Amino acid sequence: MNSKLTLLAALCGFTTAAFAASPNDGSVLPFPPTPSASKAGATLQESTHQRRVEPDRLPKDAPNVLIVLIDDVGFGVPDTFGGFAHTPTLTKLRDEGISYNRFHTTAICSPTRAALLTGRNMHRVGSGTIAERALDWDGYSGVMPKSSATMAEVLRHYGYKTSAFGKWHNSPADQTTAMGPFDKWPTGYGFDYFYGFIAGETSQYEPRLIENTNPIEPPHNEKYHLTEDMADKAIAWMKKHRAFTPDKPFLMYWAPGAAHGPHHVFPEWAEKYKGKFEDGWDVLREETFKRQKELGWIPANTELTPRDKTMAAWTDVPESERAFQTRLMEVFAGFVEHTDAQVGKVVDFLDQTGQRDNTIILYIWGDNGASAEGQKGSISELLAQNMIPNTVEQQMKALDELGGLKALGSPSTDNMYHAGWAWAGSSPFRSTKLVAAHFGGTRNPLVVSWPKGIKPDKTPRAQFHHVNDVAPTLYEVIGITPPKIVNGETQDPIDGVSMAASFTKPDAPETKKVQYFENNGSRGIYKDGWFACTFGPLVPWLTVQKGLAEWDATKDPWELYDLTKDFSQMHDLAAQHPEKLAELKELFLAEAKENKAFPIGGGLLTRIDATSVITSPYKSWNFDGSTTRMPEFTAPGLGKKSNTVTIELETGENASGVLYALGGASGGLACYMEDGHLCFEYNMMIIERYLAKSKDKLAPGKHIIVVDTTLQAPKPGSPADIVLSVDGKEVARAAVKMTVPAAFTASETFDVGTDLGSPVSRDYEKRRPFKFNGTIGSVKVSLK
Amino acid sequence: MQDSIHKKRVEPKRLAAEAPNILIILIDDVGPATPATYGGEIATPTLDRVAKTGISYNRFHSTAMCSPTRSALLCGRNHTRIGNGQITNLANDWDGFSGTIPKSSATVAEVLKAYGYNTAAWGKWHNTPSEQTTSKGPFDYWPTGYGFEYFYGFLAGETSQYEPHMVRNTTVVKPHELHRKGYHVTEDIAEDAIHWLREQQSFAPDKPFLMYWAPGASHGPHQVPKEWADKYKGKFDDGWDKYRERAFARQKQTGWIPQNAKLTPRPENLASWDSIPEDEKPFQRRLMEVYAGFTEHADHNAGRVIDEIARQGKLDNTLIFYIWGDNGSSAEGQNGTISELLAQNGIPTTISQHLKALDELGGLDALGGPKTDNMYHAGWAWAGSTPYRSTKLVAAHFGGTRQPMAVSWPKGIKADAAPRPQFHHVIDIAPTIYDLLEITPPREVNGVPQDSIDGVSMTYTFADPKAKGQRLTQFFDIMASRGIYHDGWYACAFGPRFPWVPGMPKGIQTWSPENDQWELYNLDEDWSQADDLAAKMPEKVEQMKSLFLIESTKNKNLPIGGGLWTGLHPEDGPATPYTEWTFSGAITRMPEFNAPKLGGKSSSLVTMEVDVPEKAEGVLYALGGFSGGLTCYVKDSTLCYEYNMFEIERTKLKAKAKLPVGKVTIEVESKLAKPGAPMDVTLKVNGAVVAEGKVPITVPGWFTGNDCLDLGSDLGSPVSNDYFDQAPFAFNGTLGTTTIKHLKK
Repeated sequence: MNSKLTLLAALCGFTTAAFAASPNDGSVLPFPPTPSASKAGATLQESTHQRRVEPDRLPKDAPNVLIVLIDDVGFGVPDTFGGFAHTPTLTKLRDEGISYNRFHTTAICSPTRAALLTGRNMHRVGSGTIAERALDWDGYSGVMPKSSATMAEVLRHYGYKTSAFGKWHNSPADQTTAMGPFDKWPTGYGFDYFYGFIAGETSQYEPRLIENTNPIEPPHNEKYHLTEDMADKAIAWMKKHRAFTPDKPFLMYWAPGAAHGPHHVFPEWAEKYKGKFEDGWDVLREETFKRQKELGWIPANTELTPRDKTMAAWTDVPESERAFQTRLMEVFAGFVEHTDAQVGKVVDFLDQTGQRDNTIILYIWGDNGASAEGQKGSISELLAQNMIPNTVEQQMKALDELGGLKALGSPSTDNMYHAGWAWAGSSPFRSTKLVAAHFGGTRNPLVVSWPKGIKPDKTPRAQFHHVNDVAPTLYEVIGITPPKIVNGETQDPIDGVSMAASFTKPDAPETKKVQYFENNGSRGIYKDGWFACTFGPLVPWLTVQKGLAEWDATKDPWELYDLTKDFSQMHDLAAQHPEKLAELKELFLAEAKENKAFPIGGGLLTRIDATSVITSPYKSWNFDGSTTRMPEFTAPGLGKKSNTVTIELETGENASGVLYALGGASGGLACYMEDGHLCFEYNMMIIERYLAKSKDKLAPGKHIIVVDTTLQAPKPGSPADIVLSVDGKEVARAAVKMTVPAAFTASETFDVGTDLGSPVSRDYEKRRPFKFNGTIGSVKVSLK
Repeated sequence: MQDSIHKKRVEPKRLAAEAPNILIILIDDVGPATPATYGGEIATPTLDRVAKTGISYNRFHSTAMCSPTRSALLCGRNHTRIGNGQITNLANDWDGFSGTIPKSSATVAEVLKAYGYNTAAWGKWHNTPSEQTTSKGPFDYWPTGYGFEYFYGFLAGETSQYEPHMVRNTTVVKPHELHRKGYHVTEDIAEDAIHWLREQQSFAPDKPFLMYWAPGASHGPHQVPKEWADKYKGKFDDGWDKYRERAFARQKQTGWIPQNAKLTPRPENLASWDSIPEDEKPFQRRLMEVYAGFTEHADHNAGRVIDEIARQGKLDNTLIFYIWGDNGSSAEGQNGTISELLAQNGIPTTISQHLKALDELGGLDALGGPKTDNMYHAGWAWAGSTPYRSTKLVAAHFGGTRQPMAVSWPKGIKADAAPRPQFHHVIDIAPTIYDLLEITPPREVNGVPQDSIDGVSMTYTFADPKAKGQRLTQFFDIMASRGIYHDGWYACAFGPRFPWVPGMPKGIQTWSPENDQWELYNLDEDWSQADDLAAKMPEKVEQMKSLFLIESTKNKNLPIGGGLWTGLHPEDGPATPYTEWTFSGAITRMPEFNAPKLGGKSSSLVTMEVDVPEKAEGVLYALGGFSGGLTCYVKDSTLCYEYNMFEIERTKLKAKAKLPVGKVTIEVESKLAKPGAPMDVTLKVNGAVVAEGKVPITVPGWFTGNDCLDLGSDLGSPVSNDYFDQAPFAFNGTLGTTTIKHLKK
């Protein structure tokens, strides 16, 4: 019978090597499945069994990689490099490693992160603007295409364990609910583990957390702070890594929400800086500049660039406002130091467990320069994103009601400092975050530590580099040839170049020949020591932007700098070298075209035409009592569009609790019950509050409540009338003088029956999440 | 900007506007004669409801085993083509038995997700390589790597219903979120599915959904609150032989099986009810009552999910496949047990041992509770297989493979009580779905060329109970119990193992498929495989055997009996690649399969740096659960150790003196000659021996299917009765570094 079995088997052509020949050299990822090492005959007796050995794709001593990316911190902020904020961890790593003083970002969040993760230019990976302002043009789609695999995806296939903590901001803003899809969440981009938030910013005290793809709630604990939690979770992840997969190296991307707005930190951290900024930002800038030179961080011939004439001098700030402005800066400085201290905990763990020696730490000081989006100083920083005109007096008045200056940095405010402080943090450069033309927007210190592979050297590396060079550097150091195909997708070319040669050679020849920059029409181009740029139409530190709609990119005036002699873009040579400028402008256009940056300034469109903003595809919704954590961006626009909300509920005596809420303490709306009364609040970014409350209590039993919102004119920001009715009878109304045109918050959510995250109304702040004690059958929403 | 235009792209719709929602319910280890819907004695109102509003299939088949059936169902391919000739825990290197569904066979979830479905799975998974189940992944072979956007359940083949180790997507669920009073996995996954349905309606109302709801019930351990078991009090007093007769009569009365069907006899090596000693009978009866309650409870919770779909007004356009069993009833409880993994570990015991241990736990009332991992006598499983021969694991007989299925879709299928008798298989579900949705199965998915699909669509039977069957051939094979269907004929060989007989059969080492005796049945005339025609039709047998071999070859089912290998050669099974571990502090939830082998596979040394407080107490480390495991803990400042050999035997060690306060090094050295042999355990404090003892019988395989190693507390099911009421009995001192090493001998 054996012969017959064998014959039949042969006739059918069985073999053990059934897999199609897919290259095994890493050019196609994932690697092909390892074939069976056994021989399968017809019977056990005719077969051999041997466990296949999965090949090691990495050298034995492949290093761990830790990338730390701080948010919205400028070149002149850390005291490591002459700034005002104490950053002992950055200093320690610099002392044990090397630093770069001509390393660049894209001048804005999502684009820098996308470029960092993929090693490509931001427009090539659809990230010419932030996720929430995505558009249909390919360079601005807000979607990192699968044709540009992230370094996490690549390293994962090689055997790295990969994790990301903190801010993400690279998922399409309309794909962030619990229904996904999840292929563009961190875990869809190659991270085995994610713990953080998907949006661009969040409350540090009540962050809208996601673990992998699960929405989770932080503890309601007065000691909770997201950056601390991130350090704890990163250490917990490393402990399990060490216990469960000790033979695999890891890649960790640790990117706190700090020090982006809101500037949230415990008072003891802000207190460390009490009285340190009384002389204002102009003086701070000069002092910083002086220290930068003393430390040898910037060349001795560097000149300090002047303040832009549209930006206020410290002496322009009225005496009555100064305490407010300096406290905002104290909070920011404390927030920064607190962040660096948390990085220290993660680094300490590596030290304690003997893993530091073979861990490459890239500590990138800023995804862009310091942010001027606080504008005149703010207790509710999204006022700026919404372009809502306001005065510092309004803000200070609202702050008084919240407890005055000591409320700054607390959960009650979404404070952010005056743009002047950001400019001081950009010392010695011009401008701030969002300005891609100037190094105040794009130049960020980088420290690299890798005891096993890099000799400490305090002299800064001066090669011109960019965040898109990080991935290629790691590929070279680890010995990975970037794949040609990943999960069936043919890969885009990699734009970055490796910096690895400069790890060991301080004077290694510069590998970056050309780099373009573009954000909201602010643009620049680097080539061979020259830098041409144009400021663009948007002035980050001004609330009201003029002429955006009429702006014509071809008419912008350009500047030209010889960076070999002029570190800080001090001397504009455009008039002297028109032919050089023309050459660079042409090169910029060629690069822009090649990298899908057309149309130039495409990212501005959502500020010009509100209808271009991506929105929910739905016009009506049917929620029940259990709906929570619907991110504001995906939720019905209850605060900016005419709409009707119909609630079926059943109450007991003196019912209390939230029926629904959208947004948080810094802005939002909530419909709730208080001791049997039906209440509504429209919290207009803290500075105005509109309240409505029914005179009578609702009788226990079933009711139908309708909240009807009508905008007085069909345009963004229009005043609105809000009418509350119970069982068909009007019980209260509110006239909202100004509605919030874009968004109350970046990451708060729509919740039914509770107000998760930061609470919208002060009335129940102490009782948050103020769960409703009756039963909600359904909540139906329809836009008019 | 002036030269540009901006227009939002419109994502094309890949599905018809009215694409139905799909719910697949798959119950575990339940045979064809268990549900009252089809003649059994367990109330199954939800199955009744689906059957009454739709249609039923009485010749629908599984593979006879867990992971194989599940993979075949999800992929529409034969189990061996996709590496699932065995359960994941017993995988080996041959392609048909690798325990890994290859990416060349995309699941129905992966395909439907790409077309715009929201996809989600709950409950038992059992299709992830066992060595890849820690929180460090990799996650490509977890449910979310196989096309499910959402998963909530357990990755293993079974779990404690009260103290499970659950994962949500790729996140380990913290036990304290689960272990509230009255918790039960089946209820939890019903509630979670309802919540998901509500979120789906809130966040993505225009998308259809695919739900795969697969409770751990009614796999062992049979655990359900007492009131469910009590519903069946006294109902099974006259034993399994009588149950079988009653069920058979009802199956005929209701027209579920043809009038000429015969009741097959009891295998000679399976005990008759009459042969059970009277003093054991209350135990055996109660085990069946618990099983019945457990099963009804699962059906009840499936009904809650359907209720929510109905509440949302979506039932009319929801296609429900209610599959009654991933295989037949399970005989793995063998002679009846309070700790079912004794059987998997091949440890012989007597019923009197079980009864004695049970008495200490509270007697019969403890069955079904958190303190036992009970499972009924194989005789009850055989009764649940009426009218067929054999049980789960026997792919030769329909007692292993034939599962009732009810399908309802009010909008698309007219209710009809006439059973569909076309011969079908779980691999036909995915092609049926593709057919209905007009999806051409993809040739390439994520860059990987796709294997051919083995299943055929069943849609032709929806409107026509008499339609000619469109499946011509189907092979079956689980651990060399094998069968081949072709055009009304069925040939089969029982194979070398009897699931209801403890231990490995004699002569298994030299067993060869060529010596097996084949049976032959003409299914057109013989519904239940009652009349073996092999002796009368030897040529037909040979023809069918050849066909079996051709099918085996095409489907990577070689070598025949490949699934037996790991049982015979445990050293070749999937295993952790490590022999040494370092734990920083109180690491928890390391699935037992991936954890150091502290119990009976290897000698080992555990060294712990511990900061001991005054009045120290709590667990230092624990592996496994109440049904079996080991634990090292401190009580009254005294170091203790317990080896819980499946509740049958507990070896306890206790130090003579109290632990010193402050920094202490604790060592636990365990030495044994070979797997399963007696083990010498020595406890040391700061180098000095404080207690010694011998564990008479050790556990060569696993204590549990789904529990974990925890340091600093005993999460999940607690190992020792000494701190059961204080579980998880967290240590009140501080753990420094713990190292664990396997020792050579």
